Amino acid sequence: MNEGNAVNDEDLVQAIQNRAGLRSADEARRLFEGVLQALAYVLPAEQCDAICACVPEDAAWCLRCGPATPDPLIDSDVFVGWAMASVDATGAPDETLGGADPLAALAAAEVQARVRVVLEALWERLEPPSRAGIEGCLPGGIAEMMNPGSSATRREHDEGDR
Amino acid sequence: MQVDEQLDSDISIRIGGDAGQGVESSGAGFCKALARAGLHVFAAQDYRSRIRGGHNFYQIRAATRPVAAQRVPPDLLVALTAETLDVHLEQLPPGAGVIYEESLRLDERIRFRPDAAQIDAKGLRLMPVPLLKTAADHGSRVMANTAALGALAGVTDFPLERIMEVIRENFAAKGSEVVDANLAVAAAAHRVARERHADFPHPMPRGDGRARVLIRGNHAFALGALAAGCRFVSAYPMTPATSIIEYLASIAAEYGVVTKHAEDEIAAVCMAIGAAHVGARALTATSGGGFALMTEALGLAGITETPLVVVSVQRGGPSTGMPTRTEQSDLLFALHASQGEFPRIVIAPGNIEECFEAGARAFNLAERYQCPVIVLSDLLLASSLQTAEPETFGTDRVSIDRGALLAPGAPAGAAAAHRPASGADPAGPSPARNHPWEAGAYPRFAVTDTGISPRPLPGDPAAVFTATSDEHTEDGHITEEIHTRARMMRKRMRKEDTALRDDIRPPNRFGPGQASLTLVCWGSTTGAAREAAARLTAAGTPCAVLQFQDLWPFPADAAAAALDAAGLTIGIEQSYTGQLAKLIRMMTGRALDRQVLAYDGRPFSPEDMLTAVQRCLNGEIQVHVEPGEPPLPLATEVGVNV
Amino acid sequence: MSDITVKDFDSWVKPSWCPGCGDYGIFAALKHSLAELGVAPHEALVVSGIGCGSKLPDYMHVNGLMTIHGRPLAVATGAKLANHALTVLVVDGDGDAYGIGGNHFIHTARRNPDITHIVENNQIYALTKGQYSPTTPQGRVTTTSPEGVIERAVNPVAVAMAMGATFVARGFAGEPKHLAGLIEEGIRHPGYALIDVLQPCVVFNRVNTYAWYGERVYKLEEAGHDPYDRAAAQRVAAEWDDRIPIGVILREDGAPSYERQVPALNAGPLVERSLTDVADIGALLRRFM
Repeated sequence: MNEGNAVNDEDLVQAIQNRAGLRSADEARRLFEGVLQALAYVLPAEQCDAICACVPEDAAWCLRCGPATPDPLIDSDVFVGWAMASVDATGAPDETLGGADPLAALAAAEVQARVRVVLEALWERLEPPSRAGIEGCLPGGIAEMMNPGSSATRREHDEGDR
Repeated sequence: MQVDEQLDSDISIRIGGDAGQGVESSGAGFCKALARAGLHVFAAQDYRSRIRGGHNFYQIRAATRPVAAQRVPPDLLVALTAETLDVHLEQLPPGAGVIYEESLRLDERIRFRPDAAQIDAKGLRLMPVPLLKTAADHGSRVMANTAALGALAGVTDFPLERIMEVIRENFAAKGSEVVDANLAVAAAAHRVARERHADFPHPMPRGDGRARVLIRGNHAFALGALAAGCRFVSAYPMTPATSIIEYLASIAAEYGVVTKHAEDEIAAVCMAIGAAHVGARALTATSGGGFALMTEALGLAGITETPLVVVSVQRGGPSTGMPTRTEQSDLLFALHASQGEFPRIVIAPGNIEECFEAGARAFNLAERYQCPVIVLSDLLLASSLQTAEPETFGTDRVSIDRGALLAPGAPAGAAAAHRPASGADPAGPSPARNHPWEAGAYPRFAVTDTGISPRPLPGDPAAVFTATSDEHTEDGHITEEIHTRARMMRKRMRKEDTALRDDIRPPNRFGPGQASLTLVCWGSTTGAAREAAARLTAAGTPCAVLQFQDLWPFPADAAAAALDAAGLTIGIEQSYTGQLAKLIRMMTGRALDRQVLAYDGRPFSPEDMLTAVQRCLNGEIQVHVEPGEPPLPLATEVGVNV
Repeated sequence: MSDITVKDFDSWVKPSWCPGCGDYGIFAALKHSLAELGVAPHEALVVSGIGCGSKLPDYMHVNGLMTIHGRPLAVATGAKLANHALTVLVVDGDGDAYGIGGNHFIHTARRNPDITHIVENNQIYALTKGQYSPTTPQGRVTTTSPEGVIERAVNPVAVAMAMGATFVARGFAGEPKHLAGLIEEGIRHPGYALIDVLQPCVVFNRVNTYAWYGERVYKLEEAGHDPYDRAAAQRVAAEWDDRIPIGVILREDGAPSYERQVPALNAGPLVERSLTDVADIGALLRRFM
């Protein structure tokens, strides 16, 4: 519904593409939008505004798409779901068992790396005073991805073997 | 039960007519009167008819000793239609009586038959009674079946008052006018019959006056289940199992039974599994086609170690087959139904008392071994009316054993006390995650020496647990870990060994100590086999019967020992392929010497069986019973050559 | 407030769902709603079928029963009839509930046992890796529909309503808080409650993503929908594509649950009765004499 509003900040998109090692700008754009939308579901309006201020204007819609109040039940597992649209985790046809071979285990590492790239890019652009407020509102496991200075402790289930 | 070893006072009666002439209800009513007079009764809507159209008939056998099979030939035929005579004429023995509606003029009908001379030679006693006119004069024409009962009592010199008593009860709901009219009709027909045919030489035997239960196998089974605490039955109607849920539904409000007519057999068995999982004694009842639909869920009960009871009442197959005829062709299916391997118990009652006992025992076995128990019945056993001593059905005959069920709160101690099985499973190291339940989850599937794990119920604060159709850890979580898989398979299958050791019964043996001939059978066929064996023994050939009641786990050692001492063995089964014989051979390596196979849907009579046995003795290895086969003369002394 | 928390439902087994799977949101919502209602792990029975989402009970400290494909409603109905003191929930997928289990779905909807049925509807068979399900849109290419799905998709909420269901809702796995509210209402509803959940399958359904739903869903309670208005509910149930309603679509209060109408259960749960409370079957035997 927002196709006319695609993010056109080529520098930002290019940076994300390079840092995440993505093949196309389009993929980078979808990743960026997905993470912003996920943020919109977990952050209060005030923090969304702060992010808005540091992203291109044409990405603002992503931060306005969330519910009226943040959803406290969104954890890191759900959060990364928004970014998964940028990861094609369907492998080659599985002729042994049928269906397509899912690359879910690989995708887990991949989507976390991608989300981390976007969050780090935002972290760099955010005004330092607003950083703490945003970090405090993020689900466990996501906050740590955003702030490179935070302890690398991730939630137990992210270490699990998927 | 004592089957008569010598033929005593014994009469066989057929009541035939068109569908819609009240043949079934008259027959059942007459049986009730006979039972109250203290006679032993075996009766059923008969399935021998090979005649198209609406003809059906009821066959009643009454005797002064217990009887567990029909007997041909009939001593007395009650013909409400001319067709009845045509159908049964061939089987009427010399001197048999025929009570018939006078206006049918059966005497003239016979006179114009081409075989009139042969029939005449039989010396049948034709006994016309104006049934319709009597009914019309004293009540209405629809009461002709009541008139037939009155006439039947008159001809056989059976006390009219017994008939009157049943009429009063059966018609009570319709009001006193209907009752009185029926009573008048019965009395008038009785009077006419006495006046005209009092000299019929085969009177009704005199009963001992002892009141007995007159019941069908399905009802006996349901009563057994009820006595054992079964309070949940889910089923989908299927002949000939329907009367089980119907009966329990009829007493559900009064006795607090939950009965659920489900949307299909899959739902029926799954509901029973759900109910059993949370602790109810739950039953589902079906026949072969419905059992086929239940097979996947049977495996669910197997791997989740749920005490499920399924009663499958066999009928003629395959597919829709012959819905109202009897067969025993689902034995190997019941043994093997569902994919994969899991412990199960299969038992097959052979008479009415065993139906009651199986109804109760199945639940004890299911809870003791936490596995599906399949009770294989068959149409003849399920639907024929038989008398039994009331005390055999006492609640005091039923003990309730819930096996390793834990009382609420008990799991805490049980979990702490649990140690992995010693000795029984040397090959299996504990899984990597050793005892996760110490962190809260309960080891519902704890590996033990017997294979039986202590069983808490959902709702117990001391034992939260998960169960799954997947292979799982001791605390019920999904795994494919190699050692756990092996240990869990061994743990579950070990329950069959434990059952074999502690609960499975050897085959029942009946007959003389030393037999030169043994009839090997299961299910309802046992009744006719015992009577046939008794007659053979009386005629000079010591003949025993070996009845398999517990079919899985198969009592192989006991079976082998019994067969080795059996003389010539003849398997008698109502199937084409002789499934019990196959099972015996598979489990003991012993082949039965001869086989008698019937698959025409008719119940075996002792006479059929004697004919078939005679063919075996004449050298046939495998006898396929021919419908309507004339009986072979029974040799007084049979030479048995093993 | 009860002292039950989400933590009480933690298991030592961690989910094996794909990263970002909609099942995580449903899982979080379910645990939250049980904690909110103060239902302890031993007081609930979560019955599932076969499918990715049906593994949910494995990941949760709760009485769980993972059954066979399509049959959890039937198993749950038996469990509820035998022990109606348990809070019984069914969690399964669209293939399980609306495909192979379709017969049980329609009959349970009209039967109205007090069971909360959460359907993880991702419009695809994910456990078998990418075949079309009863709710896959017409024309969608999958491994079993290389030329596109020919059949029309099932509209589960409309089917449930047509069968006389007394509580029909739809949630979105991307909004677990909202979904938790629906599950709470479903559990409180004394009858069958269907909660069809829009669940992104991030691997095998590349069309109906979080963003796709995020752009389309709207909340019925914010739109002023009256779930007691059956006609309005029918209209809402027909909406799809551009705007997809989430929230309680239809409810009917006061209809007694199935088990409340079973005379044998008037005195309490069946499993609490003594097995020997029929001390003597003599009275029944006499009817056969």
